[in-house]
Amino acid sequence: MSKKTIMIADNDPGIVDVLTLMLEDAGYEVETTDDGQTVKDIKEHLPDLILLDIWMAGFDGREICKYLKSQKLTKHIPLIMISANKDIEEIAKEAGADTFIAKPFEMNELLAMVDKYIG
Amino acid sequence: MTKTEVSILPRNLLDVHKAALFLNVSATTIHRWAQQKKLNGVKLGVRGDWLFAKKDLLKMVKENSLSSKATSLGKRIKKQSTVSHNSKKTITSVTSKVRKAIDIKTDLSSAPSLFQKKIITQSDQPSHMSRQEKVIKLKQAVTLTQEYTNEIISELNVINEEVTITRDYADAIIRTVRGPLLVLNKDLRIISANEAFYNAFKVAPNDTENRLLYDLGNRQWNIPKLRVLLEEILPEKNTIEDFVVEHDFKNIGQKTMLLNARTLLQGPGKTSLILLAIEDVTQTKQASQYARSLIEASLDPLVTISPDGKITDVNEATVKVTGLVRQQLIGTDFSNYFTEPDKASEGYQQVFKKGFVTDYPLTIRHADGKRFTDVLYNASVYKNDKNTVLGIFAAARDITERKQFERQKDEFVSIASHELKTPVTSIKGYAQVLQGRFKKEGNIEAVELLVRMDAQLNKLTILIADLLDATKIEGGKLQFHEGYFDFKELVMEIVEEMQQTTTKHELTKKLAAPKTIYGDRDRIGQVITNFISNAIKYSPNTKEIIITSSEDKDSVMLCVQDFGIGIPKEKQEKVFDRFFRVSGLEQDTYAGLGLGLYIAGEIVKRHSGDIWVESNGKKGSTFCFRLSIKKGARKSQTNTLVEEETA
Repeated sequence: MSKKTIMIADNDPGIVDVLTLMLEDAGYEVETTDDGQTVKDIKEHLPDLILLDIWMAGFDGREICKYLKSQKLTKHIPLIMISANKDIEEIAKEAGADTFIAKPFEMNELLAMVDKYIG
Repeated sequence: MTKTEVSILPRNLLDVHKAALFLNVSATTIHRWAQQKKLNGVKLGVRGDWLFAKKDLLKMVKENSLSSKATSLGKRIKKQSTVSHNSKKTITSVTSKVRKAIDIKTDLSSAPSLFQKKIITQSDQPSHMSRQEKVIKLKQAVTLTQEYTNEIISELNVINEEVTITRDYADAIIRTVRGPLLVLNKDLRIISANEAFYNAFKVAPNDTENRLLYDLGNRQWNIPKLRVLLEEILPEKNTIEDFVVEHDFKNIGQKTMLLNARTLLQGPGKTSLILLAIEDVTQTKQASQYARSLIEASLDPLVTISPDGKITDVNEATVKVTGLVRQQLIGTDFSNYFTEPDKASEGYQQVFKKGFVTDYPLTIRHADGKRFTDVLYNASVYKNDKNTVLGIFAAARDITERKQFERQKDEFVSIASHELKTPVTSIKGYAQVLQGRFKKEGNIEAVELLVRMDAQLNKLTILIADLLDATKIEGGKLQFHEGYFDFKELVMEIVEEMQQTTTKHELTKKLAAPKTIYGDRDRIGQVITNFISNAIKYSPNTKEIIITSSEDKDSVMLCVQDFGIGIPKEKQEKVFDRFFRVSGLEQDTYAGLGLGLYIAGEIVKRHSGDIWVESNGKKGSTFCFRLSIKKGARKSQTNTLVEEETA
């Protein structure tokens, strides 16, 4: 069984780095990008799950989320939105995200969430 | 008897008898003649040996050549009777006596014309009386006349005395009046002035009395407005009240005077007097101008409000902030000009109740409907001498700028804490990754260090979250994610978590049965965490912390009791205030932002619950909250409903 691939879209290198370590340690393959457009453009090698920051420089995570969830190709991919706090919960759900996780999060919490969708 | 002889006929009582003798008739006969005819409207009568008339005194006096004395007497009596009520009785009795005396004289003096006629027609009447009889009667008449004369003189003395007393009394009043007072005749000549007048206008009595008002002191009273007042208005109205005259006097400078004048009429055709009271209101006016300029100089909108909530006065700042002119504001409801009229009227009612309010927040609405000014009102009642509340004086402090600063500060804190979150998330993440790796390697020591590091990071996370929450509360942006959850389960979870953070303390649970309640699980958990972490923090030397929960059919209650330093009574109310920290020498060692209980208080309040503290000083404190179980008990409308927590 090949490793599941998770795409991390966040423009904070500190977050991208630590998420990569966590997920790789947990046995996932990780792709990263800090560019919103890259996420929208994925067509081949679709990830099994997307971790998307709600605010990326120059991109609105909600808009990206809505787009992905509207595309036949990508709408089935579980999408976890990363937000700064719980107050964006509503927004995340509205945008069609499967769930969300607020900073700062516990590693175990994140891994449990990922596992729930693609475990 | 010829006409020439009659022309020298009687002018007094004695002469009646002389005439009777001369005509050789008795005085009675003369009386009888008089009775038979009515001459000049004078009905003559007989009383004893005396003539008297029933005609009105004044008319008689007018016709009588003897009347000059009586006239002056009558005048004095009249004057007296107008000034002195007390001596009225005396005067009446004196008057009647005097009148009687005058009657007699009048009758006698009226007699000549009577005699004249009688004499012409009956001059040849024979005498019936003996000469001796006539002499006796004459003597009697003389004696009686003398007696009456004496009586009149003594009564006149009494009246004079009374008049003097009354005049002294009136003089005393004029002198006592503190304001300048002038008595003028109708030609505006000064009859008298009081000391206050001389002092106020720096003039001497010698240069004042009997002078024309306008000629006084280099004609400085020759004021056009005063001339109009005294020469045109007063004669028409007889009274002038509070007439304002401003004049620049040569030796005393610019004065503002309040004039009150009254004409004293002395009867038809008689000279009238003018009483002119002059009140120097220069200082009062200056004081009120001073007060006015102070009020106007204030940048704070100031208003006065009547007991029924109407605006009675405003300053320029109020005009500016409302966009309405004074005339539009005065007389209207104070509460009209705020975004929350009910709150405004509640505010002034509070002032009438308590006597004052401080820092009462309201927002003034500009007439253009676009501009709003956040203000804090400080208001108090003002009273008259009798302690009756006349109204409210209210000063608004424009806090728009302060609010703006506060908003900026909150925004800054919000951004700052937000920015802090990202690196903390990273650090926490790295620590957890490391922890995982060391665990795999079996390096227990390293794992333990990383657990401690994680605990500290959690503290940091809470501090950042508190800062963010506090700014959200201030901005009204604290959101709740409510749903059904088991209260007991939450308490157990948190107690367990908190027990792991301390080795010194023992958390004892005394919990009621499981109960499902409705609310924001995380936020209520935050309150419990705060209570327990405070209990740990403020009881460094005692071990036990008791967590008690109880429930009834409508609510759940949770209390956390410690046996630490406690909270003095006077500070217990303040512990839920923003930035409150336990102070004092010993207490300074306790760290914290002073936000935890403030946030806890807000969370409980937003859940329509109660939060309180019990502490009897040094034996520790018990913090409690009570929450309603029912969903409908929420006040807040902004909560988002997420029910997944119950899953």
